Amino acid sequence: MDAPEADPRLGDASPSPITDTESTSLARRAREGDRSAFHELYDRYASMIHAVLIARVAPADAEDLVQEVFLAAWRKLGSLRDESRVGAWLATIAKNRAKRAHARAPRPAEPLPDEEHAPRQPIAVGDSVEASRAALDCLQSLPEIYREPLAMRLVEGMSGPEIARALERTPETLRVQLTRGMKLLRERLARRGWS
Amino acid sequence: MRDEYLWDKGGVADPEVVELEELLGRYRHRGAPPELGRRRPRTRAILLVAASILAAVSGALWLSRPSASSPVYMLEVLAGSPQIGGESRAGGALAPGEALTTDAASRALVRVGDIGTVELEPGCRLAVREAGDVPGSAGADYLLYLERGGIRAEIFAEPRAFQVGTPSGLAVDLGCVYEARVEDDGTTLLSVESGLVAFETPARRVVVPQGAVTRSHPVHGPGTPVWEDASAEYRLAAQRLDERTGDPSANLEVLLSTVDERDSLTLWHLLDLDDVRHREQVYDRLAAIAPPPSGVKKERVLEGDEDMRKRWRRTLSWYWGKKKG
Repeated sequence: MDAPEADPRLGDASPSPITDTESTSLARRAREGDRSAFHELYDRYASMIHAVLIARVAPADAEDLVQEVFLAAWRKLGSLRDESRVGAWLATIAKNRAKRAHARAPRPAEPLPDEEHAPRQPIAVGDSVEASRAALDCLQSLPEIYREPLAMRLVEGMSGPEIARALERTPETLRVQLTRGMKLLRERLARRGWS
Repeated sequence: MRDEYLWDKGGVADPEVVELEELLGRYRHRGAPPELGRRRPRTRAILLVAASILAAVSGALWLSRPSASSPVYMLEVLAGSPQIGGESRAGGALAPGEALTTDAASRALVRVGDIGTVELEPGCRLAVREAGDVPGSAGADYLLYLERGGIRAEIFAEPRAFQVGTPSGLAVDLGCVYEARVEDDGTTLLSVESGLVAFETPARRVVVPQGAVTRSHPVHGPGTPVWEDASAEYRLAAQRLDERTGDPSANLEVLLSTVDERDSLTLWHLLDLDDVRHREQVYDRLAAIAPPPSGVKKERVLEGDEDMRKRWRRTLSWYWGKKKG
């Protein structure tokens, strides 16, 4: 993997824990077998990886897959050629794991072609569990380009600048995607009776 | 601007975004880092080099040595005098075919490759087996067999990489921490602290998530899982259905009367009851908790369509991570 070029437009953003020189150093140390460095990497990237996963799979699976991703990463660190892109590397592992999880057991909540824009059940107002589940269903039904950043923002509470770095997108691009994604999400929630 | 809040939580809070943060924030990552054991890649490399040197000295022996990827089980004595083959051991490797026993005053720890540990309680006998030795274990990277006593496994590995055979079935690790205990009659009690374990025989497979337990029997097979905090009456009803004792309708009635959505875990496993009328009752109760996903047909579920049951399970599993309401 090639290293991403530094984006001067990120200069005014608050310091992000994602993709910085410290992460590069941590990745290098972890590759040499330093478990504490690997645990620090976990602390930095677990939320991001969880967002990547929960944008694709059920919450219970997402938690399990986070463990799988980091365990696989620990084993495969020797194949990480560019430590500066450890975040992207972890995200790639996460996406592959999510695909495999789908292959093992297709997730029913994933919309079928004829229902993609018409989720089935109205959100049960007053039942926060149902409402949360329905909101996540709608989020997961969004195009991938919007799904991940919104999961990072709304599920994990990351800021826009942090997400931009994590996904290696420019802040301008990410900002547009967040706004458009949010608009789409509102529309889909509205179809399910959410206001 | 409202978009400012969406961007970096600055400016005026957008109430819709705030509400979504609250709704979706419940799914925020709260897990702990995986247990990496005490593996150090360099240590393994050094061991491999040492093994190679040894192999060069004795070529014939080299041919019979386990490959570099063979499972490695390392014993650590925690208390007393654990034994292998009737001899006390202070540590060292366990080979396939060997069994580790702890008496009433002994405890031991087995490091399983670089994927975790298994702790043996007093009064335990645990054997190292090779994949395929136990029915259904052909794909295991690591296979142990718990003949009696209790163990606590902390394993973080690929699903199905680590498996423990018992007289009642096979515990298949899906990335988790769990305890297993084999009683004198071969009954196996399994409780999961984190993650997910499958307990399998050729006839039945149950899944046991964090906070649930299963009681399995050498004759009756894997037991229907229940939550650890289930009432004694609830547990007994599930056990009686598994063992086909008592009035099945009455036992099922106890299980169907639950108001706890988490009990869909138990009910989902009862979709394979013998009597189709009972299966239908279970189906209807489950559907009241969470309607089956689009495309999942009642008739097919009742007939035992595994794919449709799994698809529904993935919907129901939303409730299995909830705390007791």
